[in-house]
Amino acid sequence: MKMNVNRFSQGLVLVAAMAFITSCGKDSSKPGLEFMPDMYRSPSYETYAPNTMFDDSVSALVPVKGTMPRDYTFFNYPSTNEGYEAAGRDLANPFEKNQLNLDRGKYLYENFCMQCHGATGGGDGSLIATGKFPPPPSYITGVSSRGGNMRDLTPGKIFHTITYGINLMGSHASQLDPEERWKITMYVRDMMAAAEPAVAADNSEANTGAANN
Amino acid sequence: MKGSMFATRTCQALLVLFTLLFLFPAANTQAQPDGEGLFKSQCAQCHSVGENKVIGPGLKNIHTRKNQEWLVKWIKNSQSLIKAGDEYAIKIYEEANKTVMPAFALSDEEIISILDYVKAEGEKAATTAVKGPVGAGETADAEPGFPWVLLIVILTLLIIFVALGKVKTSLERLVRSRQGLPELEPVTTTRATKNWVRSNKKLIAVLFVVGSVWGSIKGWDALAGIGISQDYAPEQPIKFSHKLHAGQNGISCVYCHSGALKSRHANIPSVNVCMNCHKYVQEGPVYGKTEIAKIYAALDYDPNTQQYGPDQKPVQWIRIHNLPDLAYFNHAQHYVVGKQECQTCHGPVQEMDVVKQFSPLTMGWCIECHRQTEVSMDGNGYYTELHEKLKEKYGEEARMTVEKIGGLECARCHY
Repeated sequence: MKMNVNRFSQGLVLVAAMAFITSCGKDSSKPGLEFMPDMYRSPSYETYAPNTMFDDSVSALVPVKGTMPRDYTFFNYPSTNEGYEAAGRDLANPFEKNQLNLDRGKYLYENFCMQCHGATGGGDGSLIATGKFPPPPSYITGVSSRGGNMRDLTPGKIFHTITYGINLMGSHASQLDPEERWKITMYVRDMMAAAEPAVAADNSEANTGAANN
Repeated sequence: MKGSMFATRTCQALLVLFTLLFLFPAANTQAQPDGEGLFKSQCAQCHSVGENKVIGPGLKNIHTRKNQEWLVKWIKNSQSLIKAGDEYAIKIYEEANKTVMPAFALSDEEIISILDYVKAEGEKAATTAVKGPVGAGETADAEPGFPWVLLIVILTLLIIFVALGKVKTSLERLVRSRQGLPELEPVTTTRATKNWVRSNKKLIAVLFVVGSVWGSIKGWDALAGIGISQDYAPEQPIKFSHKLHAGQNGISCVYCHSGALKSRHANIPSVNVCMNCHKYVQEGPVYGKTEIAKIYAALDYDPNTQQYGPDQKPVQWIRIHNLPDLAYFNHAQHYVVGKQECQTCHGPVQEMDVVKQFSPLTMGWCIECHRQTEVSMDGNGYYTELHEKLKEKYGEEARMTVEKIGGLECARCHY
């Protein structure tokens, strides 16, 4: 009997010791200890640090009103249907169509457009495939909500759309600078042009199919 | 003769078979176009089935606003109705700031199936709305809390232990008095503890050794971990899941962190980038509307009127990766020039619901990678001359690592 009680107490001590050891996990909601943090933390304001000097407490300021950054290019077409038509009429792609620019356009398209518009511009990107977002019109077979076929869009119209967005597509001007937008435009135009013979063939097939029925 | 009989029979059998095969399925598919599919591919860009406006008005209870005949005409060609001077058509055209609804080449049956779908969705929404609050209450309760069960078990064991001890002493006392033996002097707690220590020397020795080894390991770890925030995973003010956005939805890292393409910072996206999708997606699969509502609050945005207000506030995210100010790091240099994947340093972020600091971000970790990583010099005009010099210095076959182009020099990062 005495032996048993002793065993029991021994077990209890062991369990308590184990519990103590395992309870000391690292708390992942805390960054951990810092020694001499003034070597780590900048006395100057960092880009995203809060700032007590300004009313909106943001360190990352926008340029002063009435000024512009160097090499800033204006896009003097308003976000209206008239602006869209005018941009489509007046503007040509300022970049030469070559493999380097097309590759850059492809890279940017794959990172900024493809999740909705799809790898071949069919409006079937990964985000659309999840069913959470309605598909944009296909570049190849779709119809633009501002009239005409998607594949007939001029570079100026595409640039205007990336800059301001349309319908459910938001403006991508904050993510892509004008040069990048023009290169995407170049790549998209290239996709549309490459698909045109295929579309023509598809249409004739569809027509003959309909005749047979 | 026999042959022709056989042929007629076969023909008849085939005819029946064909009728069975083609007539019924064909009749089925033609009578019921897929209203839901059509709605999602043709209409959902601009219209919701609810009351909220997307680009055009919400379509809930559209069948009560206008009759089917009018709706079919409108969907087929809205501009011709407006030009014909239809009063209602002109009214909604004006309300939408003259945004044109494009003409749709759909058949009457297809349009009716879409309208049926919209009607059914509207009725469905009405029934689920009643159930709504119950569901919300259930999710609120499912919160992981203190391990009460464990505590109760431990307490019960303690009580049993103490009670058994008491029973034992009183039984012993009873036995001694029955046998006429003198009563034992009462055992004090200190005496009892001393007795226990005396009879458990081995256990205590083992515990002491284990304890001191464990203590030294933990102590060493704690000292070595000063200033290192590996595995730091704070809960952010807006619970943003990278697993959902980057993993399941397949959105590229630089879509939001576009700064990584040109700047030192892989910026935190401004909320207008969120709105590229969340103007439409107003409810998430995990937290419902609460987290997305925080974006709207920061922008002072009203999803019903789609207007941005003046009272806009920055979102205060909690910084996870904090490289000491004494070291310089440039995202564009590593991602664009060095062609490193984001995951090399940040780990599988596309699988993380809550982002944690994957790498230690220590100097040793940087150096290790600079020693291992090869620079692809072939076909890069910038390196042609340097590559020749390096070949002379290190030999033709040497691996041209970051170290060899000066990646370990102090002033490369500390200046």
